[in-house]
Amino acid sequence: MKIKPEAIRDLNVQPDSIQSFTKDKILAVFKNMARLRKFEQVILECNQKNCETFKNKVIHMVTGQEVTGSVLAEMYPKYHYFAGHRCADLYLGLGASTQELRDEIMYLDSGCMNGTQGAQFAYHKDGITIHTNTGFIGEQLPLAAGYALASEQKTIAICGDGAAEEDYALQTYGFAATHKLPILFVVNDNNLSVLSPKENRRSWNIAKVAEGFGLASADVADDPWTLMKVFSYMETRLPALVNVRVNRNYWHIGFGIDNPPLWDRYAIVKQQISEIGYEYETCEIEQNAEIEMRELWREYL
Amino acid sequence: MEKLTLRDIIRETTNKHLCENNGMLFGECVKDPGGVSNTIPVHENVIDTPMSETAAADFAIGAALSGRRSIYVVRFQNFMLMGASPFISFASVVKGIYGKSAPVFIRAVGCDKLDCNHADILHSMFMHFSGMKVCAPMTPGEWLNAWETFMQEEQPLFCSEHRDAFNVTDETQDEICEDAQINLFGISKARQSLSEAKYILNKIGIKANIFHIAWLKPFNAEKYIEVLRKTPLGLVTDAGRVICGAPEHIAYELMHAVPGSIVYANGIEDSPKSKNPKFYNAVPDAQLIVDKALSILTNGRM
Repeated sequence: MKIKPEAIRDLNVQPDSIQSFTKDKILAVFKNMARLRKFEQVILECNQKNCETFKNKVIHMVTGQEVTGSVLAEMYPKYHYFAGHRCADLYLGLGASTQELRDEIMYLDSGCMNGTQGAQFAYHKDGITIHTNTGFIGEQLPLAAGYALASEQKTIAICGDGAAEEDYALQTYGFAATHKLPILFVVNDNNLSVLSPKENRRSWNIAKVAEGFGLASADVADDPWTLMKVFSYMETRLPALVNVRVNRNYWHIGFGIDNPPLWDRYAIVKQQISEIGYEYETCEIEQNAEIEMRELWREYL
Repeated sequence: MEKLTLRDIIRETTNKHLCENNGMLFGECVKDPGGVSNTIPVHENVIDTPMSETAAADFAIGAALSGRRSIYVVRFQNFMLMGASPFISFASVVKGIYGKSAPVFIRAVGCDKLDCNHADILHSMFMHFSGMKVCAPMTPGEWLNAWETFMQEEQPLFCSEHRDAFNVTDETQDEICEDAQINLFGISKARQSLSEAKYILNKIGIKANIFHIAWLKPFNAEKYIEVLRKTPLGLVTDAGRVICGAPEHIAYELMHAVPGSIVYANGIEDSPKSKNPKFYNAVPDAQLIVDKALSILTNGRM
């Protein structure tokens, strides 16, 4: 039986949970989301104006699934992160250098990984720690577990639903449980590994598998306010895994679109914030984000 | 005073690292007292990993990323076929890519005359990849040299050990004679047959130099220029496979260093190992090295 999009969009979402948070917190999360959206909208505009700009570049667009990184960055700015590709939301949310992000995408020496990768973003300045993978997809999970074991510091490992099912990832959940590591695994579950949907790849649910290994776990849609509650709850029960249902609006790589997204969380969130009386502030945040990102990409526009 | 064996040196150096440097050791089945031929001390920083070589390698690398230099132990080098990828694709390149280092000392133990799951020597594979140093120590001094090199640098180091060397106490010396007709180079366990091969050749009137190679990458070919100029014929014998392996590479490096010299590569066959003596595919012994040397000297080919 085909699952209705609304069932995924609303999976374990706690209605009205936005009411639990302060204005500052709500707007801070929205600001992270807006900066990512505008960052990528300007990239799209650059590409429309000159399709040579991103020729031979590997762009993993985050638009559509930006809630996860936006929320984590707001809640846990000083944790140690291990991410893979498609992590610009986290990178921007944590306040890492936008110039270095842009330059990495453009393969410039001044990029955050010296222009060597273009699609993954590590950053180790200003109290921000983002490690990334350079080899196998999802290797950031066992790396993060080793790091958490050795450092005893709170560590967050983020991956997609494909990476989450790698053999070494599965072993990592067990290892984290065995050693009671201070680690949170966050799975951005957009239902696609490149183009292969989950139902083609597996019949099991990653949150349940994690639970079987002894982790606290949750499976929840990308409502930021519910997610904040879930992350807070899980933080007291580490090690834990949270599977976040998200949309990937664009192709695995590049700017192509096959189908319209099943839901537009950005629009939903903006509407929610407006309804509680902060419409002016959301518009201002969007405007400022657009100005910032247009200025950032000015020479390519 | 009783001499320390290679086994003792490994265990004591490891213990010191765990105690004094807050180092860590990861591996499958390593926590038992007397583990891995009694080379691993009993210590809380020794971590028995789940039976997943790839994940275990990543755990060791993650620990190293946090600043705690770690040791990753595989009891049989064959297991590195699963454990290699995190070292090749992450630990050895991460410094160059984003400036963080993940120094892990990889202790990969080799052996001979065992089944095809347990008896391979795979150091050649690691020579191929960027950022990885490769050493095959057979003596306490060589092992310590590899360890000290590792401790001074920020890259992973592949230490190709051999079970048949754990009882070794003495250092080896290269042996050079005035009128040698051939140079015999040895790597890993093959080195243990060099002196006997030299002795057999000497008995039939053929003089040979012998050279013990511990560092495979970087390999210092210049060290051998003088002897190769004098005796421009050589045979490099490894405990691993010849094809696309360390002996072929080192033979090439030597010939490149001394144009006109001819150096042949020797090692195990391009077939699986076995516990059955009929199919051992064992590391070349002294007689086999002698046979190859005689063939080169007599026929100009192996």
